[in-house]
Amino acid sequence: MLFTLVINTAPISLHNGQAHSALLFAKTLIAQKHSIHRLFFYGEGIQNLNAQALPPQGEADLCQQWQAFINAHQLDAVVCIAAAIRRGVFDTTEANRHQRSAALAEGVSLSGLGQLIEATTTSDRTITFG
Amino acid sequence: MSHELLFVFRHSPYGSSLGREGLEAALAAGAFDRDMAILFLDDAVWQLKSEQNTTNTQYKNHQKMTSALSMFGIDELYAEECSLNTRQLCADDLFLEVKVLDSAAIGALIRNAKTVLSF
Repeated sequence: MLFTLVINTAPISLHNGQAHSALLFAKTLIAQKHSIHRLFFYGEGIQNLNAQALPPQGEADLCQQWQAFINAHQLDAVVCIAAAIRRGVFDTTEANRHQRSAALAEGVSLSGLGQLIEATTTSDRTITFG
Repeated sequence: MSHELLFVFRHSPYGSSLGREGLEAALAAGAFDRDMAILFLDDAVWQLKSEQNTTNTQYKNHQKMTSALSMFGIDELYAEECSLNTRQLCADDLFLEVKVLDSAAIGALIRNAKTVLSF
């Protein structure tokens, strides 16, 4: 089955833990031979791919885990551009355009909400976290 | 009452960034001409409250953006009866026309939607 995951919560929300649940769910999909059409990061969820965040020692580095997972399986990971820019998570192009520093993790791209709407049409299942 | 895409809003308009960002996502779907509907649940029923005044807050008022839903072809709006009642809201308090559904009808609405996006 073809899945899309929408992630709306930040990794720092340790106590509701839904960003972490999303990662575990995505890994389980792959383990059970399902396919992932797209990971769409929206709202506070864009913080999952903020490579500038540095969790304290002993706490999980969710950004690094997402990045490793995305790269290992060559997944299409999209971070909503509007949500990312208002929270200061720029890719190199946007950082140059707005005279800011880049913070977006490698292997993912900034794009628009059209990618979310397209994903709901293409996927058999769309699951929201957060 | 069956839609290709059902947006479920659960957050208050100004208490969570998802209040505004959910709205933006719905307008995007409307611009793509999708067969869609919006369900206002829990604190999200405050999105429908008339006379939203954000002058004394730092928040940008998005009542006008909510009013624009119909311009994007989004006319199927639902609100949960219990969410309205527990907040002492009635149809007269709302600035948009919505269909009020009980929890059984909400269940059917969600079940019959091909895709549900929750904000």
